[in-house]
Amino acid sequence: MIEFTNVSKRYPNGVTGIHNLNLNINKGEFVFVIGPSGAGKSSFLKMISLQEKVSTGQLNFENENVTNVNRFKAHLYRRKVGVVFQDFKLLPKLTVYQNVAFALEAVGLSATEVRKKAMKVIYLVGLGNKVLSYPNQLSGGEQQRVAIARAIANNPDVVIADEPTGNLDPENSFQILSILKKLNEEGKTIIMATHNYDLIFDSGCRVIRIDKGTIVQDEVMGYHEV
Amino acid sequence: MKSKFQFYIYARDGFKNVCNHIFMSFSSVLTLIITLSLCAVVFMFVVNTNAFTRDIESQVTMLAEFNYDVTEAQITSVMHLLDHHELVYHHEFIDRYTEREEVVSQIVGDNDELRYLFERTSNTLADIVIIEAVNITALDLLEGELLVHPYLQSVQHPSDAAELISGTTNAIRVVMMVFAGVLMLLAIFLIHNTIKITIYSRQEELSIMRLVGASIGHITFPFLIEGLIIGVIGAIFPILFTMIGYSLVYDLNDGIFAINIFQLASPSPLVYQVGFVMGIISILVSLLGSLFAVAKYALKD
Ligand SMILES: Nc1ncnc2c1ncn2[C@@H]1O[C@H](COP(=O)(O)OP(=O)(O)OP(=O)(O)O)[C@@H](O)[C@H]1O
Ligand SMILES: [Mg+2]
Repeated sequence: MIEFTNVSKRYPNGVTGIHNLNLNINKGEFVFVIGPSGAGKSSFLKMISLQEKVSTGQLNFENENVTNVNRFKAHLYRRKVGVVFQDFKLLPKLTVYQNVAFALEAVGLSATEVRKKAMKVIYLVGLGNKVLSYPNQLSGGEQQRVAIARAIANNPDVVIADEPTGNLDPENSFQILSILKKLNEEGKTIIMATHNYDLIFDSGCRVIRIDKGTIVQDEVMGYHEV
Repeated sequence: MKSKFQFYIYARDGFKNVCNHIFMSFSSVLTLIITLSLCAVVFMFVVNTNAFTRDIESQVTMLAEFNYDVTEAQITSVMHLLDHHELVYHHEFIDRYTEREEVVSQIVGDNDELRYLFERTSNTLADIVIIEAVNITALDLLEGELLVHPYLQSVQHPSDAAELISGTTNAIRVVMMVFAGVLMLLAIFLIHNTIKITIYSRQEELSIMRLVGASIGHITFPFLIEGLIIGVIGAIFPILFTMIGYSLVYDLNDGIFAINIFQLASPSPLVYQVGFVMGIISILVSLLGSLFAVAKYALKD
């Protein structure tokens, strides 16, 4: 579903984020991406969500080459990829409902559809009783659940989460992980970068370890040494 | 129905943006008003002075005198030259006797005694040809050419007034157009800045919109509408000002302005044409300004 072929990412300042990456991610997989700070995890994820352009090599998404996708078409691919960040990136002046509805309005849905889909995902992440709260009235875990609701509102095939539990305590972290697991069980492909190795133990998931821009380990089920 | 609703949202957002940055919007509107008013003045000036200079430019006649000892053959050769000259619109030969007769008649009227006196003096006039050039530039060229012609002793044309006036109006036209052009650029720049500020203040929203897959149209539309609202508000006043102002000036002086050779063009179709042109300019200027800003700041990832 997502295929990297000899992909490198170089930033304008000359720093290499990813070097000569070859990788396939299949539909329905749950993939953890780990590695030290500055290893290139975010660079890797940002290429999938088309936030960063691939410098060399080829990136295929659902069998289509999106390496140099036209900026007038890029939004069609972005709708298939939901993104969650460590710092939530909610709009502070909007309520929980408005934050989610915003994403649905952005793709041009009608008011009725917006209402229906927004409420559905807000209940799905367990925030039905916080619909009218503002982000600063929510705990970190709750804010991250709003961000997940927003990411999945347009029903993407893939959810990318870049250290979604980085700002959360263990309990909230596990809650977020279980939501992502639930989405995975519903058929969504999940790719999650994390430093939180507790989440990985016994997860039964594929773990990709990146260091200095290259994959140094790629194993299903478990995790051996840090 | 969906698209209608969507358009309402775009318009609402565009209008909100205008209000959120009311001072920037106001300065953009003000610049547009000044720019368009100046454009209107230029346009009116051009239309009216065009008619005016066409009028004086039609007086492009001059008079060439043959040598006193010119022969019949020489006259024929000059007439032949003029017949086939591309700068000559029309010409008319008057021999020295006919000319003298005209001059004498003018002076003596029907006083026979005076006429008798005049007829005893010798004819000091030369044969002449009156030449009408195709236009004022041709007149100059022609004059230069005929001055050195061996069979002609002199060339005169009525005055340089026409040239002077059309030269002056041309210069004024150019200065005004340059000024209007500069102001137009300023308006584009100010609208660009207004939209840029809006975009900066909404950078967070925009990056989320791009992330969740908003189309380029969806992202840019509210900003273009913001620019359009500024353009429309900026156009209303100068258009009204032109329509009312020009009609007033016209009525006040019965269509005569400054000097009475200056006949103003009738307001009826003119003010509507000018209003239309101003509307178009305003829309172009505001769309250009917002497009530049959007392309530069709202679409980069
Ligand atoms: N926008 C950018 N411009 C220039 N260099 C960048 C940019 N983003 C990342 N880099 C560099 O690319 C390399 C990989 O960065 P990246 O953010 O992908 O690492 P990471 O694995 O996500 O690290 P962390 O765990 O700290 O988030 C680093 O050396 C970083 O400095
Ligand atoms: Mg990172």
